[in-house]
Amino acid sequence: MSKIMIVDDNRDIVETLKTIMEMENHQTEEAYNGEEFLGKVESARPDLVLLDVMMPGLKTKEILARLKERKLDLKIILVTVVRFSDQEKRILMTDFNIRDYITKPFDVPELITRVRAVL
Amino acid sequence: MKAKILVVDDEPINVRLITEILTADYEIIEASGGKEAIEKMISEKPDIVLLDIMMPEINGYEVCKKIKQNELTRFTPVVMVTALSESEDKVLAIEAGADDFLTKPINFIELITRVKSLLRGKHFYDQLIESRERIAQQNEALQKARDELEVRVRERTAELTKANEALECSNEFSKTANIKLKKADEIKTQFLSVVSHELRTPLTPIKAQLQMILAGYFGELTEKQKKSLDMIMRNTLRQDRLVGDILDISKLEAGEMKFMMTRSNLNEVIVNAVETMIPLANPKNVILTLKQDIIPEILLDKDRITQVIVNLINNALKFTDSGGTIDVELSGAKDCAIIKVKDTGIGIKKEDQERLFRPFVQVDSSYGRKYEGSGLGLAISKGIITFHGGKIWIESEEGKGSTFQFTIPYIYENKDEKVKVNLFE
Ligand SMILES: Nc1ncnc2c1ncn2[C@@H]1O[C@H](COP(=O)(O)OP(=O)(O)OP(=O)(O)O)[C@@H](O)[C@H]1O
Ligand SMILES: [Mg+2]
Repeated sequence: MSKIMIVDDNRDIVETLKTIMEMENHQTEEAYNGEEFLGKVESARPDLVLLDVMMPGLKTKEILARLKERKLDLKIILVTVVRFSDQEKRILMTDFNIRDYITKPFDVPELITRVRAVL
Repeated sequence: MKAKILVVDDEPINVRLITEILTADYEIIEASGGKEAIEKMISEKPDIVLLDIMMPEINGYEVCKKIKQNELTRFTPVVMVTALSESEDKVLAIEAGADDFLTKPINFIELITRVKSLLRGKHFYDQLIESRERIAQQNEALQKARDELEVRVRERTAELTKANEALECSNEFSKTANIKLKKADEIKTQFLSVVSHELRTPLTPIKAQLQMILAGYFGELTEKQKKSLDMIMRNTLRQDRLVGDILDISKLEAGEMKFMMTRSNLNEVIVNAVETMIPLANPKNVILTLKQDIIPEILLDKDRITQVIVNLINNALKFTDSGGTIDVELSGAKDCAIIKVKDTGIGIKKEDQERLFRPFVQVDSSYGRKYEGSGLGLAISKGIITFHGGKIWIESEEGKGSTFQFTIPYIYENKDEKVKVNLFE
């Protein structure tokens, strides 16, 4: 059992991800924007973060930069509508510790596979 | 033209005398009194006046004064003719403004000389006046020219200033226009990314929840429930594809499509694409084959080229009946790779072939048509191939089958390197 932090501004998506993660026997914690996430993350100490791209408020790059500043070694999977190239993935992995990404609307089995692989 | 001499005397005999002497060389005008003399000064404009002093009514001095006071006549020489050479007469004459004297009895030679010399003076004077007038005129013209010049300079300066201002303005304008254009571009990019985010967000829980229900996570499903949910799922996926396609075509048309050009193995790309399509071909009883030359690694967007190949195979599958074949072939020409997707399907009429590459165009666009789709696949494929510098075209015969072909030129170097992560935020 691991602790998964779900960060998304859309409540239905948060709830859906929560259901899927609970089905996988994980413990979950939610945040609905970047500020809330940054405020909770240190005490929550999640094993994995499912981080939405394009939330209102703090931009993803800003969130990632602040995490890097605080030297929080978190495993992150981005949940996004954007496709990344291999080079972009490499940059995201080496510079921001992004382990993987999944595009919306995602496939449940695919999400489960990727989460298992990262954990 | 003869010079005019006005002879003023109340004694006709005197007038006749003088006239006789002068009439050969001059035009003589007579006046018998002061009043008449003054009138004729104005009407006849004589060049010289011979004026008798002793006259009734107005005497010569008065006449002379009047002549010299009038602006129009004051420069006409006046010769006073006196009976006596008395100095008092002369003083009065000078005071009256006379130019010369003649004493009676008139000495003819003296008369002629005086007249001549006075006329010369008058002539000089006239010339002087004339030249003065000319100078004045010239001055005036000069002044006018100067004024005009000044006005023109002022106008020109104003024009220049205005032109300068206009230039500055247009500079400013083009600056703002540029800024606006950039802004519009940013807005366009921003708009497309927001739209793609907003359209896909609601599909995310729909698809995931459906998948969980269909997978039985929330309990057994009856046959009817399953059939219903399958339909919802099919349409959800179709909606998702459509959103993707519409965004793709919008981005391509707006020049906002993000291409990730890397040197890639096209052989591998094609093998993968064909392999993903085999599971769709088998149940339709269509045979999908692949033949290929080994070609060099070239610059391309792997995902986008895969998208094109999948589009073409999808079309071929859609329009080819059971028992048909789809042959995919990759061959290497001198400076480009050629990819062919050949089917034994329904084929396309000549007149329909060209327009199919336009968005939303389908041969059968009737309501409730047989084949699913929205007519975007070929338009997107064309956009992608065009970006790669290639061409895409059809060879087809109705009822026999179609061959779609496209080329990708061999390009090895990526000119604009610098990879930046774009999260579209
Ligand atoms: N292999 C083929 N054989 C016969 N007709 C074809 C073939 N490929 C395309 N067409 C014709 O061209 C039209 C446009 O094709 P296109 O791929 O652009 O759209 P679509 O397949 O109808 O929809 P979409 O690709 O958006 O799902 C098709 O509707 C069909 O009429
Ligand atoms: Mg199609």
